[in-house]
Amino acid sequence: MSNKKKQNDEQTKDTNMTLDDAARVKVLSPARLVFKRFIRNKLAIFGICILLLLFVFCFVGPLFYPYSETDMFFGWREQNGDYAYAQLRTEFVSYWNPDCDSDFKKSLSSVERNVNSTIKKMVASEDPDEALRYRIQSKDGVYYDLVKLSDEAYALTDSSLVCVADFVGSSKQGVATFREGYADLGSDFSAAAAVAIRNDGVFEFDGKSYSIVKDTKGGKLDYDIYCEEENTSEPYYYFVSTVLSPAFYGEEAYYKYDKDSGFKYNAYLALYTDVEAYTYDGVTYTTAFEDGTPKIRKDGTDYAFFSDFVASRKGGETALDIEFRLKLEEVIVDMHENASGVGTEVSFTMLSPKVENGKEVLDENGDKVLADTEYTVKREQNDYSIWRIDSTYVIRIYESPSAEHLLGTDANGMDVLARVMYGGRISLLVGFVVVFIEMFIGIIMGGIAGYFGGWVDNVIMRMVDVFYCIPSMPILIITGALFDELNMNYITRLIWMMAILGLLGWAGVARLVRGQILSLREQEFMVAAEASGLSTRRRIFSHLVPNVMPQLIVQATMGLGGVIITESTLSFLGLGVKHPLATWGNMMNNITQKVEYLSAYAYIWVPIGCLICLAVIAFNFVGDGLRDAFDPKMKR
Amino acid sequence: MLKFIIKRLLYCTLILFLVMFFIYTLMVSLPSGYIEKQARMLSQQPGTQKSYEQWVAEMEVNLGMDKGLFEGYFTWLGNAAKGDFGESWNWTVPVVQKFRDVIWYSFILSCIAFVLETAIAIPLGILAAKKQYSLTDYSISVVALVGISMPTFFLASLLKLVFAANLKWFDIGGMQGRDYGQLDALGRFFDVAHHMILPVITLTIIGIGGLMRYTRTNTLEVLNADYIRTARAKGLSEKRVIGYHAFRNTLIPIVTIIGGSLPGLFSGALITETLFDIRGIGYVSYHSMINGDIPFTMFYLAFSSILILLGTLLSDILYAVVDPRVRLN
Repeated sequence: MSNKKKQNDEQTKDTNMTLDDAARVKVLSPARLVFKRFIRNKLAIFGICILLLLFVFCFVGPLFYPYSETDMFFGWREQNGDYAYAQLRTEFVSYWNPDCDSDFKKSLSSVERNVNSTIKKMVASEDPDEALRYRIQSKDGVYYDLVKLSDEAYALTDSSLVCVADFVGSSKQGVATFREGYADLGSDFSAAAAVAIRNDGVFEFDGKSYSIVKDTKGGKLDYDIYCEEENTSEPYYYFVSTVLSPAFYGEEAYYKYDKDSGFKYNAYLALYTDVEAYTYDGVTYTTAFEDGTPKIRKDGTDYAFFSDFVASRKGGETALDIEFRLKLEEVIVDMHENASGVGTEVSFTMLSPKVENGKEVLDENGDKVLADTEYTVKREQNDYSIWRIDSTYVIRIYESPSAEHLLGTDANGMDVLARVMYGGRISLLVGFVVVFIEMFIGIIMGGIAGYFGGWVDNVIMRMVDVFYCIPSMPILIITGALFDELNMNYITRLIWMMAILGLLGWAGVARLVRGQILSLREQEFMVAAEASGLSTRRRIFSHLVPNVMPQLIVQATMGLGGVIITESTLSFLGLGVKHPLATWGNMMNNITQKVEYLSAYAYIWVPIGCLICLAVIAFNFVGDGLRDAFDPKMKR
Repeated sequence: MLKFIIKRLLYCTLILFLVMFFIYTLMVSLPSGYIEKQARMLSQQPGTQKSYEQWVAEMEVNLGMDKGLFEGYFTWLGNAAKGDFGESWNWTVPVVQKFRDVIWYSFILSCIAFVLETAIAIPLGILAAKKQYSLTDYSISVVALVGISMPTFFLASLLKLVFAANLKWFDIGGMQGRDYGQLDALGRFFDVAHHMILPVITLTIIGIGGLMRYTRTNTLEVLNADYIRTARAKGLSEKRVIGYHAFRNTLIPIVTIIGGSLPGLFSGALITETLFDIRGIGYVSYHSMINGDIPFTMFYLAFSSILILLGTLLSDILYAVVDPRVRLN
């Protein structure tokens, strides 16, 4: 019998009985009866209203909200920033001759590394010659001299002790081969060298003294013969100094020469070899010492000076104003002399160009506007950092609520309200999809088990028992950790999570459907259905299952709340839905991880948590209401 | 009765066998886990002679993961039956030893929460049913529903916010205070007890709702029964009607539920323990699971499956014990 026909029959019955008293009692269709009972339940109506509001908020709200869930917001923020870096140099630092190539520099690396201890030795030395000129051997065995130019400057140059010949062969029959540029002194020299090798390694020949050093480099034993020669080479390989940090008068020079080692090298060379004027890069500079400060001048005006005070902007791209630098030096020398400990802070105020939104503010004439700016110098280990309130271009994280962002921004500079809306979408969607999967599998399995009985029922019910027994939260955590390990794409991950949640939840539905069908299939209408020759599929799914629908709807509604809790818990643990997708769970995860955020950003996570609660409560209320409406026996 | 129990136990064993097989298959077929992570780390260490694949192969042999699915499962099952669950990869002690170290924290935690739950939920549930549709009833119902609907992590975070971050009555997590080392035995006990308060509150509030609702529904059903009407008609005092006639009948389903949840006291509170850093079985197994520690995870899953099965069995038995009208077969 089709539905239409049934309705018609009912209608005719209705009209036929109009005159009967019994008809005064209004006959309602079962659906309307349920509906009527449902709307009488205040809590259920409350639940429905909340759900409607939530749906409007999550699914319609984003359409009218200007930001999406993945928009990141950047902006200028006034914050106390690391402005500059300064150091008072006490150690010697080397500046290379730009002509030296990198292989050569590498061969001198050990010398360079030990230069500070070498200088200490020179200062401590009692030998006046040694105090001025100290011999060092590089790892290649070549000798170099460190020459003292002044108290604060030293230079490395070729040693006067040079290797003139190699002695190859045994000490009896060996031959001395002279190196390029040295005249061969013949076999007598070899013989004299051989004798020296057997003795103390020192010999005189032709009025010159020679020394012999064993050389085992290259796996072969030979001897190097050294001789004290007149030092001919003048190139200094590098300077070492404490005071050679340049400060430029004027930004232009800074940009041009700050990183130019040639400029520095030539300046040092001129300053410490008492050259009055020199030319570099086509410009002539003059040198001078003013109160002991080495300076160079260009066209009679100060161009740069050198000191043991190093200061640069953080990042090093921009120049420090020279006046600021001088003031800073004063403060830091003061701090140094007072032996301030690590972490000491000293503040001073200076007129500096006003900076807004990352740019210096200019007045109508195009001049920089100056403003009093407070700087704080903080002592780190051996250096100083200078802080000031600066405007920096940042991601606007954890911004307080404002007209632009009604709930502020989160840890990634994303709009919290937008993410709450989109997060609700995901949370609700996950709930519906998972419950749908549960229902789908559960109805089929339960229907088959209940209808056929026997071994089919047995097998399916054992499966149900197994799935009932599997602890689902651990399984979800394990798979969540696995997805992390696999670096799974967040969409794939979401789909997998829903599938697993559905697979773990169908057992309850199957049990319910089976139980109902077991009792229903013995009833008369099923006998009628069988008698009218309907197919098994139709008998199960269009006659039996619809009769289980009330319980299923209740179960589904209640289940939705459960799934939302599970999903948000997983996401909260960081094992569920991942960034950049927002869900209510993972939004709370970001904030509640750190203790200080917990209270500072309570205005973000408490409402989100309340939304989760509200959604679950609403589903439970509606579920309760539906159950009472479907099953009036319970409602008393 | 005995026959029923034996039959059920045998059936439970079968289910357990299948469940563990399912879980073992899942664990073994995970494409990336602890072994792969360790092998990747080892193969990248300076001076290592072996490649990643060689490390994987070697570790699989060492950890007994090189066997096939069935052989591996039966080996595991055989060892497990002897009480040998192997060595935990994450905690580097035998699984059973780690379990013994931590289980009592979980048990005590769950136990206290459970006692509180029962002590609060049952009287309130009965009260709500007694005064159906009154303000008391509505407020109790709403509180119960909020308890059910509140995700554990939200409640835990709220408690932390209010009592730990703002009021500073408790630490934000952990089981011992900073000065634990200097305390005497009694002081240590109170220190740990102090740290257990927030987790216990969390567990109690989460658990209270379900039981309260269940009690209320059952009491309502009982109060509508004929024998209650009879009792009232006899002229018994309301106190006696409720406290004697109704209460005893209400208890029947409640006892089964409570009995059924007794084994669960051992299974630990996964989320609560993790959030409050209580080093119980839940916390330990959470970290084992995250780090792909197969021996401990297998043990924990087997353990909780057994507890679930025991719970159902116990509640079935109790049902028959409390209500003589029920026949087990």
